Amino acid sequence: MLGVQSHGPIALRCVAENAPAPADVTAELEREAWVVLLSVSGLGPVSFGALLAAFGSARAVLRAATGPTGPTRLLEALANAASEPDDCASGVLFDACVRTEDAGAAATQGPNAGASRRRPAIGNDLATRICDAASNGGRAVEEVRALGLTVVTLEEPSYPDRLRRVELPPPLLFVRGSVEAMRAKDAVAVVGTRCPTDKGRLIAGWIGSAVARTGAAVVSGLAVGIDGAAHASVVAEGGRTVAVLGGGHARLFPKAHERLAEAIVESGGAIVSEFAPETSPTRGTFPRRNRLVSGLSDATIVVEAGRRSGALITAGWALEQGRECFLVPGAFDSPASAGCHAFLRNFPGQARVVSGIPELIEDLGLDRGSHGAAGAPDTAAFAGASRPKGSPPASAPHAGRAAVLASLGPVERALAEELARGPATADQLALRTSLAAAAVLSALTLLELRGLAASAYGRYSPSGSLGSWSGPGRD
Amino acid sequence: MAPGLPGFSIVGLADTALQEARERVRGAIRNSGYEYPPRRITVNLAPADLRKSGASLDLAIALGILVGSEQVRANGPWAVLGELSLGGELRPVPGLLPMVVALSRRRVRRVVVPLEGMAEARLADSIDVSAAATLAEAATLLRESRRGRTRSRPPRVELASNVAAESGPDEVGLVGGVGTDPGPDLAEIRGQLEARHALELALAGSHSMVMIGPPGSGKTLLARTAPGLLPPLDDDEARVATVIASVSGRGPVTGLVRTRPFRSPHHTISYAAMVGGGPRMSPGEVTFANDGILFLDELPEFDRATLEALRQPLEDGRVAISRVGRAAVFPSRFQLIAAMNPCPCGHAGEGDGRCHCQPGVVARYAGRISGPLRDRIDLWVHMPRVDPAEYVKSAASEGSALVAARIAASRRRQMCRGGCPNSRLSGRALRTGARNSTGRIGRLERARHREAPAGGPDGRRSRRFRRR
Repeated sequence: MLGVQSHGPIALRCVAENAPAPADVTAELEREAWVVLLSVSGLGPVSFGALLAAFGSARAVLRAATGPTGPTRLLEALANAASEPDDCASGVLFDACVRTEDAGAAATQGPNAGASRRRPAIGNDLATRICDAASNGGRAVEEVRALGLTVVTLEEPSYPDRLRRVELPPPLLFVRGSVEAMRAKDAVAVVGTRCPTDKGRLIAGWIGSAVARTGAAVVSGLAVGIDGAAHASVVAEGGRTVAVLGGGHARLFPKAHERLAEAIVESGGAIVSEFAPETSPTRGTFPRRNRLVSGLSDATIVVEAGRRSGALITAGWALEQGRECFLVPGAFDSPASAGCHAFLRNFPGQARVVSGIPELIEDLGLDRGSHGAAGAPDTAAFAGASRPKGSPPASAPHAGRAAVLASLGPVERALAEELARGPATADQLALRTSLAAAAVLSALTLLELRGLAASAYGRYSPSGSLGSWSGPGRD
Repeated sequence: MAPGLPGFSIVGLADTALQEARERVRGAIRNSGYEYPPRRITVNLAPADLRKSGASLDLAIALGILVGSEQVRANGPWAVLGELSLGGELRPVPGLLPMVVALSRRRVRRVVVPLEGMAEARLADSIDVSAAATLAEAATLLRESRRGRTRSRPPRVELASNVAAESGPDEVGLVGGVGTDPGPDLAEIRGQLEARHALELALAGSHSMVMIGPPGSGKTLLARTAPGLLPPLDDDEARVATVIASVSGRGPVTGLVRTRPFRSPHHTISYAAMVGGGPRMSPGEVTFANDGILFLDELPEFDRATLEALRQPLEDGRVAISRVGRAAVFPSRFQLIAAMNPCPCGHAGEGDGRCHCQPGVVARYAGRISGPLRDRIDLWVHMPRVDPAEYVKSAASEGSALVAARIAASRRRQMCRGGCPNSRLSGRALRTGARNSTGRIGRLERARHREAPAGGPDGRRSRRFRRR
């Protein structure tokens, strides 16, 4: 009926006039309608908001958009709605769009206020595309379903409040994993360059594990380099981390981090994208993603950034969004930290320096101790076994690492202690510990097998509990 | 020879060099004091459908004409080999040794060879070798009776050669004799514990090995220490190596080749030069490196087809070459050692953020070594750059002599145990050996699953290393 092509039961469900359904089904259908509508290219949040305001709900929009007269109906309704300010069901989104206007021009004017508002640019082309989507929309929803994603719309209570407060929040979030992870009480972003130094990677791991230990969530961009190191250290620590993608879920980038993404989801974190699943990441989508990374956090920490690094964009967004921004100062002449130094210089008073891990935790306000549950340290977790999600992390990191070190033989222990100070080659480790070559090589293999060391290109770096922050007084 | 207008033709698919033999033979006969018969001469090279090439049949043709015109008498069957100059001198030809060996296998008892090839030809068994410097001398030899002296004069060649001084580093081991360059000593390399250990394992078990590291980390230097670490060829290997050296025609072979070959072709080498072939079916680098080392520096820069051609010899130890109408199988049991950078800029993993290659770029660079070739390489070792400042105060590194002794001992053990180096152990032999060390195997399996959870054929290879 209604001249709808049956492109799948989902489209029919959205569009057909069905009997009153239970609330959650209605919400599900509404969510699907949002997905369908927002998958139309060229339909931005402002226009979307206008449509919602005109019709009351996305499903209503789709219903109206069917058939040959669909485009006309849409445009008519929009024109009418422009003269009815503020009286819409999707007040949140529309308000968000309108807030970008000059505050003065908004509510004081009369029925003609709509004319002076930012008129959503929906022409005939866009209207036709919307009608096409209405008939073929089943595909977009199927993609979402096939990937096992959860859709969170701006209207729902599970939409993170922090993100709601930014200017023009993304109307839709595609989430894989725990939606609750985005709404952690405290969230800190840890970002940086894709080509970090070994020390920078180590520091990112320290910050990640230290923050995770306080119970806060760590947000980052799943990029190679600092982002990956931060995510990995949180996963190793058993905390929650949120990764924001630069494209859609079906085009996870970088491929090297596919396993890391799975581990993030398994440990109670989330992978989030504001883009439709089939969207490919491009140079243009990464700055947009950075906006979400800082928008989902209370504070952003940049560990290392070159002069032109995208991590500085994230820091800039943090300041714009009124969040805290911290940068780690690297060696004076290190090109990998040149961006951090420049940013600190350009934003005195707003951008803050990371002077040490305990100091950072204190500056972030995470040292309240409410998450530090007393009790025996959870050594099983440090040895790599999975921990129950949501349980508070051990409060005595020293004890955990000490237990692990005690379980090693003397050669391995000497190497582990040396390795914890920073990444090194087998040669350097042998020199510094004065151990025999054969002993060093076999001990390193053992450490690797136990997850305490990771090797890349001949350099060994501490991982697992060896790579996590080991408490106050270190470096 | 037939009556008729004087003429000289050679039939039997002779190539240009052979056709030119007519001029050489005519000149040699005249200048040796014999008479060139004014008859119609036809020389048939049988079998008729096999292409013949080269100038080694000159002497046979000339003597055939002389015998046919009854100017020379031959006392029984003789084999004769050699190229003639216009003045009648006898010149050596490449591949003399295998020819003489082939003759002796066919139960030919006597052969005349050029004087300069005498030492080489005498390496063959079961055949009497006589040398001649000119056509006239060769003719004299033929007249000798079977029971008389079969050597015209003692050979005038010295066996200790100084030919090695003329050959470049690439030809180490190709011409026989002593005193070829063993390369730098291992003690000159500071540090690089992993790579040294890997090289020792590789040389002991004849495993193939690839070193990955930034420029200047010492990959080439380490590879060049290899000749000094390997024991000399044993008798069987030496015979094969001498035959190969003879066929290559690079220089006269004066004795059994005892040094291990170390071939390091440039990455612009052509397919035929690497594998063998070409119009003369000459052996390629893989054959010259037989029982020795083939070192490929800058591995990803080699032509992809050329690299793929290495798969068969790595697996079988032989390479089959076929040209139009001819096919041959050459030995090519070499040990592959290669060096490469980790990424196009060369600095991945250096830890100072210098490498800006995207992960996709790095993967593509590594992908220039195809999967199947990767599978056949046993050892992958990373060589990070060594900071010289750290090594000023350390103890000296082990020298080549010490390591070479260990390698030789290990090789002997492996031959006693399995009859072949570890890299060529069969699956059954590995499993039998593995039963004695289940704990270690279990650990290896766990490690393998961490790296490649999807599994793979690496099981056999990872087990081989335990059997030092």
